[in-house]
Amino acid sequence: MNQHKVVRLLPLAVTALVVAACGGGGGGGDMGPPPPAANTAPTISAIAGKVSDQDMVIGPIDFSIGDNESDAASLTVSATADSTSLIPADAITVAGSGAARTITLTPLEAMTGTVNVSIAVADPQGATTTRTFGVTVNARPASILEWSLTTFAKAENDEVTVMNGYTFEQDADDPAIFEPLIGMGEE
Amino acid sequence: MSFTKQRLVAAAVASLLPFATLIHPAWGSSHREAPNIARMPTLDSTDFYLFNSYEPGRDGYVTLLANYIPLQQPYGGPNYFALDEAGLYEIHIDNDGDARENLTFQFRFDNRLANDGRGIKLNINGPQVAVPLKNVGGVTAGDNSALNFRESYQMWVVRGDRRRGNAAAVTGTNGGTVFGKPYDFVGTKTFGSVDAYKAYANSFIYSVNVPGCNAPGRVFVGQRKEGFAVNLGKVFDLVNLVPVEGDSAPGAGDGGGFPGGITQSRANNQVDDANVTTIALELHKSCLTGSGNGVIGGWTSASLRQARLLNPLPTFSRPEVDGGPWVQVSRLGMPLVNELVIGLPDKDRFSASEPKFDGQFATYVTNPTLPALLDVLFRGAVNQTLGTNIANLAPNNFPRNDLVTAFLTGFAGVNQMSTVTASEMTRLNTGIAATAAADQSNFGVAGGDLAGFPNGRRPGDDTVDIALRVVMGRLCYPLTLGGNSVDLKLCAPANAPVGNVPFTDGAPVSAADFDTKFPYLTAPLPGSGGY
Repeated sequence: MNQHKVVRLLPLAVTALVVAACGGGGGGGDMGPPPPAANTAPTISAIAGKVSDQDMVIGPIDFSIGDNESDAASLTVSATADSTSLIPADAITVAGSGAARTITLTPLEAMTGTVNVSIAVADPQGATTTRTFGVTVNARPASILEWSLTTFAKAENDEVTVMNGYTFEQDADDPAIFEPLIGMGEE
Repeated sequence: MSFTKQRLVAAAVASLLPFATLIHPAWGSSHREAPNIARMPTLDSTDFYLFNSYEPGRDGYVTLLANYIPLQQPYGGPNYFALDEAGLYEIHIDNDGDARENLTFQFRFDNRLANDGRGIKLNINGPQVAVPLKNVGGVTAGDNSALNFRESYQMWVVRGDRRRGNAAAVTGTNGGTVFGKPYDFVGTKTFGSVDAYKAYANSFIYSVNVPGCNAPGRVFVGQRKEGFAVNLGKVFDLVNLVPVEGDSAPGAGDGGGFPGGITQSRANNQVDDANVTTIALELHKSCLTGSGNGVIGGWTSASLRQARLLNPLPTFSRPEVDGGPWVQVSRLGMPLVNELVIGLPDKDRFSASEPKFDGQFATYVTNPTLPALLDVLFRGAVNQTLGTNIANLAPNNFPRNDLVTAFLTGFAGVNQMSTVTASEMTRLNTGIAATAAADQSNFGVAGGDLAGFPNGRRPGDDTVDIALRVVMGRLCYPLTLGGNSVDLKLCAPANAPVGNVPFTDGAPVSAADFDTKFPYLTAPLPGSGGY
């Protein structure tokens, strides 16, 4: 949070310093040496909100960074999500180099919901810019009954039925549904 | 492809390239190594051996042993340890280095009751009543009439992809396709004696014809004494021992080694009282090598049908209904990989994965956690004991190319295939002549025995000790191969402060612990009676 305060306050302080050095207020006199250039905060490209089904890796999402005073390679990039119950810190991977960076998100297994992911880029002088985008992870419902019957109908060497990425609905509570498969009822 | 030891050593020295050399650190076995397979012991592969047959008169043959059902207590009656007739047990061979099976040997089992499935019955004052036991009298090779539980299996060879390739039935010398499996060694009263059980079990060794192979092979499936040796309980109790050789020489008992270090003793082998179930196959190498350079990679797996419906009114033959495609639930090539390398969240996925997909697990090898755990456990004690100030016991060469090479490729000139695809399997050069049992080194290649681990794996290779040493950086130090000092150049001694320490779990194993003929693993321990 302190970094955020720096982002807001630093331009004001620099502005005041420049004004004073230039004799702001109308007095004349020597101009003196030129003042140091003001440090500007780095930039991050916009990132559109993301919508994904559950149990899917989101990304890598491309974004670019830059800075007027520093080489992009010297910028530090970090990212956080405001809900670690969906996207914990170790589920965020920032990669890339120079101006071209990527972020990859791996939501926790079987979890759904909406989070805001914030990417912060800091320059060597400490100025920081943050960009936030929303991520929505939706459930993919699946019928246990349908899945089961589909799978039973496959042959030994067929492709397996993929299960990850679905929320299974218990719609097969009645054991009688499967009696034809077992072929034996209690007399 | 024919090799001499001299040529091999020269080749090994000459090929010191990343991914080109090394020693496979298969540290042992994989008993109950992952959460999901621990729920299914009948499908749990525990060890996989692959070696050039050293039984006299079997030059040119290769033996493959896949062990299942871990930690069998011999007295585990009355049901003992039958293989799962719902399972598909497989041994896979890659002979061209693409990490995909070229050959698969499939085994499926059938367990039935005697008396045409009705079971042995006794007349109890009129009614015929089924007995509750799997045998009701003595059993011999020539008379199994008192055996109530009959186990058999069929075997196929699949060329190409294991699911889409061409499958053909393996036949016996009489043309039959059904082979018997001996009943477990319930005790010496049932079988008469240990020797009688051996004779009984040996009657289930079959000569078989494998379609596409010019020479007949041999097959056996049955219970064996656990061949793996490990200080299991203490290892997993935060290594509750000092895992360094405590004597001046293994077994010397003179305390002349590392202060407080462990003394080699069979008593340290905590699985010495257990049995396993072995699927054993011996084939001529010409049946296995294909168009490759003579090096083959092998692994075993077990699968279940994806859909299972539990029968609320189970019968002996139908406790459930299984259907759908095969789903792999167990895998073993280089043992202990899943046990101590793969992270807990991914163990079940590894069990279900195939070598061609091993890239997803690479970080566990390049940045292993086990050395860091050993550092946490022992750094303080080591520094205090030795008066040193070692900052970290774990090797610091990241990525651990020494382990990548060890786990995922092979040793150039020894057991590397013509095409190198990083993948986890046991690699054997079928062109290296077998070493007779009496001449084997239980440290395999590191012990100057090029016919041993990591060039395949024999029952007598002490893979636990080798692996402990490799993971702590042994390959950062020169090896002695054929009398020559060989620097693999995968890392340097400075990377591994304790890489030259003789780590050990104190549970020795050697070729002398095993038979010298197929299936090599010894007869199982009896459920009752002496061994």
